[in-house]
Amino acid sequence: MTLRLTTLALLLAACGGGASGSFGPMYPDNQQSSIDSVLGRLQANPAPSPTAVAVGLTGAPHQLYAVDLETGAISWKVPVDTPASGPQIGGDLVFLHETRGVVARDLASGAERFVVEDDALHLAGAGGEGDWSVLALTTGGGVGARSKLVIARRGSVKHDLEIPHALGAPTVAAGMVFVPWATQNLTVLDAVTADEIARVRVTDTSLARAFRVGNDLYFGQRGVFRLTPSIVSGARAESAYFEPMAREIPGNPTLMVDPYRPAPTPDSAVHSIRFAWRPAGSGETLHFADETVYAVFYRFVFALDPNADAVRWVYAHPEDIVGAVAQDGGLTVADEAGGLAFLGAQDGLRRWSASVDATPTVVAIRPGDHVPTGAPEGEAMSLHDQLLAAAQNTDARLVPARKMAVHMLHALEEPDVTAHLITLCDDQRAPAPVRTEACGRLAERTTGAEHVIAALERHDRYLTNTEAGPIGALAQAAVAMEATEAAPSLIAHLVDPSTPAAALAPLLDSLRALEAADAAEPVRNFLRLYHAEVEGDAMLAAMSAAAQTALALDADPAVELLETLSADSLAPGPVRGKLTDALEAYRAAQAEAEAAEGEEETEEAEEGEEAEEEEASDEPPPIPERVTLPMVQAALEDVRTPMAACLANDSQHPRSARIVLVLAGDGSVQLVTINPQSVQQCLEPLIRSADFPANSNDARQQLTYTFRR
Amino acid sequence: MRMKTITHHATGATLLALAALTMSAPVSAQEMRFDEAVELVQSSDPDSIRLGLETLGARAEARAVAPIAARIRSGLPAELTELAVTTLAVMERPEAGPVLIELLSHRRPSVRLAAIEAIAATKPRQGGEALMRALDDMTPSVRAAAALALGQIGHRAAIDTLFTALERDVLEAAQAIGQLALPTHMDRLFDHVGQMPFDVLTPAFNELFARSDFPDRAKIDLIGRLAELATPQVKTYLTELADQLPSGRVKSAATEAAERIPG
Repeated sequence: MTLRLTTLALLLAACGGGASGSFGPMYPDNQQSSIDSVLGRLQANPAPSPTAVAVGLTGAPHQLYAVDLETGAISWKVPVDTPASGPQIGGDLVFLHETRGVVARDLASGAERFVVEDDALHLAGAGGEGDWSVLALTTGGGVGARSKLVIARRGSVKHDLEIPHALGAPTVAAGMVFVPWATQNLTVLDAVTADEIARVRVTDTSLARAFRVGNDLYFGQRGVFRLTPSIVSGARAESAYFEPMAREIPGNPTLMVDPYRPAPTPDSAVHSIRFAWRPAGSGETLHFADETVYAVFYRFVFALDPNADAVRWVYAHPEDIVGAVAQDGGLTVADEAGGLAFLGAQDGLRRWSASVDATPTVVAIRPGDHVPTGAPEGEAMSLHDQLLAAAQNTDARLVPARKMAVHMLHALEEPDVTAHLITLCDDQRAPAPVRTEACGRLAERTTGAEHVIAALERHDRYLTNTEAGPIGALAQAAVAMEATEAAPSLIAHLVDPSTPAAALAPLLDSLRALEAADAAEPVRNFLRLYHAEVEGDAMLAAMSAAAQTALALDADPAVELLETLSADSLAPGPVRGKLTDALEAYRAAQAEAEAAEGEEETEEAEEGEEAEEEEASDEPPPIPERVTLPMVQAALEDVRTPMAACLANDSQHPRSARIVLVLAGDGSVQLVTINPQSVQQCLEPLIRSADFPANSNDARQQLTYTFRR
Repeated sequence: MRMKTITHHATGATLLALAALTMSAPVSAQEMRFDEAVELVQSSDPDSIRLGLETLGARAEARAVAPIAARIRSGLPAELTELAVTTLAVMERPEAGPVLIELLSHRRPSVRLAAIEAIAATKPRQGGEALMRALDDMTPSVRAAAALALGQIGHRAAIDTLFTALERDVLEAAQAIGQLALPTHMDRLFDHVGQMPFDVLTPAFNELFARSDFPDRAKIDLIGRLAELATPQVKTYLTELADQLPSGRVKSAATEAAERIPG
């Protein structure tokens, strides 16, 4: 029998029930005694073992069906009206927001139990345990918000409350109803009387969903609280609270779907782009089960470390995933073709699978105690092979996930990863975001130099159908790896006409950073040959880089050449401008160095006089024959922290910077060139502020130092 | 004799045009002193550079190569670089080899193309090896010019590479193969019959039948192998060949072979 609740009935229930005062402004929050009482009831009434079930909703013609996860078979299937949301399981009922309202059906049989008119509210959520169920409908929002809270037992409505606040997703546990509301509150009602018996108020984060796992009650939104005595603090830091690290995930899913916003439609991508996780720990210690948060993106599942930018495994499902729930030991997923599978938390291999004759757009899963223990199917690939396979997936929708796979691939130190990144960076068929990510990450690699060298040895050759690698990114990687042995190959690419113009500037920058002395003459020849016929921005950038490199590698002949070329009326104006800029920058650096040298000499003379006067017997500190890299490192020690901040705050977040430093004989800084160039402006003044030692030969020295944060 | 060919042979036309230009150079250019011409070439004025190049090109002296090469290396706008290269081609001085070979790595394909034509005209040492490398160029017109130039300079060491180029669709390689092949290469040439359109290979056959250094016995053998194909296309080809060949054994063989093919 279906009971249809009208607005009048609701009003009567609200006015006549025992809930007067509930959700009121005067109710005291964060009271130790009431919290302790609630905790006592939770401990005294362990959660009953629920049936393991998945409830799916198909596309048109819409059907709702339940699958017994123990048997893998459909236990019932019923037609439904046009749905406005996905199904939600609560206790012994399953709720679906349809045209006529929120319809409650018996979870065991699919039989309709009652309908709640929606009054233009959206279904915020539903929950329950045993024969208790609760659902919340809400407008969301703040001022003028209104909601309905319906508490049912054994398929019948017991309380139907109207609440003048926005409600989150509630649950029932140990005969109590836990209702997040107005983003900062968690009200606990006695399920029988609907009287408020406790209230939690948290002021430094939002509360949106409540649910029970084991004997504990959890709630939260961006992070998760366990209800413990410490919650009386009302603050995350002093409570049992865990929030995984923030990271960029394709589709930007939130840890929990926001119930204050209109519920996702049944075919929303939210069901396929989401996190799955399960709280674990005890007492005041809270973490995620298996130390994993699962990020689902259509067919991919990334098992992520909740605390670090690291991935444990990547799983590619044959169909789009439309439902997922984390359990101890793994993840149960449901797909759009009616498939179900359980993935082991440690390796992402399937331990169990089933398939039913249905094509759902969304599936709600309540696994209960059903944790498959079957043997894994197949053998796990290495993580970098998993990531490479994900990065090379050809599904156009998965580009953001492919990009994320590349990002994660880069985090692995194995040298072979460099080879994979070269392949991805060089894949002309790959979407631009994936290639750009791969090339960017390749340029930052610090391991796998042998792969970079091998790739740089390849040139475009028509007869052998050979193609050069991504030269610009390879050149930058060679710098990050300090692979000076790459210089001959880079020079060969400089004079190869098939080297793309866009690769020339990074190539020339790399020759400079690698201090490739043998490149000085080829670079000057390049400047000479092309200065009068430059076309396009890429060649203009190359000329600028060539001028800087020529000056850095062998200053005197470069100055002479640039003076000639910048005065050549045959050269286009922009080229002459770039060459002049390079010359002027070099001269300014020289002048600055000379001025600093002069000042230092004066200071030294004054200090020397003072020292002689004061401590005539003191020996001067020994001056080294040459300045060494450890000396540079020691000199930079005082500015190490702000230098690290320069790298961290840069948009590319480089892990290291290669610093080419030209020191005068007295230790004064004549020139500072930094790769990547984006951190030059930030790092250079810090480096120039450091005191470098002089050398006893009074010789100009060029040093290359890699600073790592 | 040149039968129908599928490529346009630009090299000769370009050189002829430049030769005509040089012949018609102003009297003042012809009479200009060598060092004055060099000075013009070294200037930064495009018109002066052109005049200087014309003058040096007309004199075609070995000592003129060095200043032109130096001017190319010191950097010119593309148009002047190409003019300087073509000037070197007209001079036909093998001393221009080093700079021309360097220019096979120039970023501008038109300069590489001009350098190839100049190498074909000047036949410098190492020119053949350089042209073989140019067969690997990623620009089709450069590869085509390199193939033709290899045949033109008679660089027989390139024959294997030319076959590879032909297999990689450098169709101009067929003509060069015809200019360079020995009778021992005929089996390899015939391996390509049936694998690529007959028209692609006819430039090779044309060159072979036109060569006086290719033995008549080998030519007659070639006609026999063509006749075995017995296609209408081959019949037409052999008929036209017979019409153009001078009287003799080869002509007779071509005539008989064409008549034997039905249709």
